[in-house]
Amino acid sequence: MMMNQLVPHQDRNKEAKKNEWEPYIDNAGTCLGFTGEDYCVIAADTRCSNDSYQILSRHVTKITKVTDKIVLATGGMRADYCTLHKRINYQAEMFRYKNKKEISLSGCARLLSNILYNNRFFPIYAFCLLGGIDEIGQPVLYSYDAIGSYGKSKVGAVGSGGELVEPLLDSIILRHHRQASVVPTISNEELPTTRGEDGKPIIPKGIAIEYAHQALVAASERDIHTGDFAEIYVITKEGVERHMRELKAD
Amino acid sequence: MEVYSSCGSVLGIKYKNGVLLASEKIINSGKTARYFGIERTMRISPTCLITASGEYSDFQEVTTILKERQESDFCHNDSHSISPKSFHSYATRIMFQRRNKQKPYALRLVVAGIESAKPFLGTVDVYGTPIVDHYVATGIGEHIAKPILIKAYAENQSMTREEAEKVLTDAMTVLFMRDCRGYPHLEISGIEIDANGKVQVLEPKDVEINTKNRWPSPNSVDLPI
Repeated sequence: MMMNQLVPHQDRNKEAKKNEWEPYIDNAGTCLGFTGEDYCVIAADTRCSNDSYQILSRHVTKITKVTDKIVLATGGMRADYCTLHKRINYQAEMFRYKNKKEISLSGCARLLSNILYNNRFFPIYAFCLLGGIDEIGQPVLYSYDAIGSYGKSKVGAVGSGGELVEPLLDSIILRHHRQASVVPTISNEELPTTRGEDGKPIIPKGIAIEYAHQALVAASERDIHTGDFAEIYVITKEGVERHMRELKAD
Repeated sequence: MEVYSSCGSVLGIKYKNGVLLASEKIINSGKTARYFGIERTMRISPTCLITASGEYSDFQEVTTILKERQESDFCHNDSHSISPKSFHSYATRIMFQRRNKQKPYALRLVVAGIESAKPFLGTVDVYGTPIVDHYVATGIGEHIAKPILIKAYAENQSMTREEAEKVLTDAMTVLFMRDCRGYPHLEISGIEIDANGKVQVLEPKDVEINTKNRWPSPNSVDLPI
């Protein structure tokens, strides 16, 4: 209290703001997602960190299964995204009770965007990837920012390792910036042999899971906040499969 | 966020058929050791214990809210009781809502209990971050004591109660050595389920860390109770 009186009155607001409590914290980690011919892969690591080089837990899940065709992965602040997952799951369940059918992927995508935008002036610190199979059986991935702007994308990566993984997925999954006729020099790369209409290889589901794992391995090498275990969800018309893989624990 | 009556670290670990919690029986006021002999673990329900490090008045407030919830559930008299996982979820909601109002409870809560015949241990931090894990250390214990708990749990995942007590006492001894606000009188409380499925809250046990002859000074002050 005494120190406040020594501060000139025009600077008092700034002094108060310096000691103000910040309601946000970044629990870090990496989430990624991409779509293939008939599947959508959503993967995330399971580490929860603190702002200060500390690991709070090695076994947290950043992914929630909303329905049999929709999976949501979120990076950012754990308190915010746990609440967000609860709200989305609640809305999906209420939709099922009121309408006797499951919510569609595009409906759920819009709902998530509205929930995020409702907090436009106190944002939910959650960066979402919503993936699944839509009503006509096509795999779709939606990526979001913290205030609800969303769009379909073929690949997406969020979180502390997001910037590291996104260009890797562009190169491997979308095969951007490559000529279709160039033979890769890594001889033991498992190249899918069938090619689609655009000349780019079609990646089968089994290899897609390994690609998701390798992308998280690459992220955990360069990003200190990513590691421990990789949780990989694959959504197809038949349903949702969950795979666990290991990552480095350092 | 100013803390006026602060409590030290809490350590918790799951063992084969229960959970043990250890905390120091003292409340500090800044650098002053203020109140002694305080039992810091509260029993919310027959299957759930709660403890916290941080501001003690906030802890009393959260305990009151959770106990009221338990009482109203008890009065329903419908042979359904709120599980520790639900209390953990409810505690997360309380902490998260206070964070949304920018008036956080300055606490790191620890919720322990028996959930579907298995031990449950979870924490909530000041932002409302829920973490459920096999071991818990709050405050400065997270830096100093948690690696000891992790190693002990990795070596033996189904410890007996005595082994778990030894692990916690050793970890709290290390904490006492390195934490300026540490205190050698501990309370070890816990909850366990026996072979018949009966859940029992253990009597809080007083443990004193042996400080005699530990430091070379010939003059040592006898600690108050």
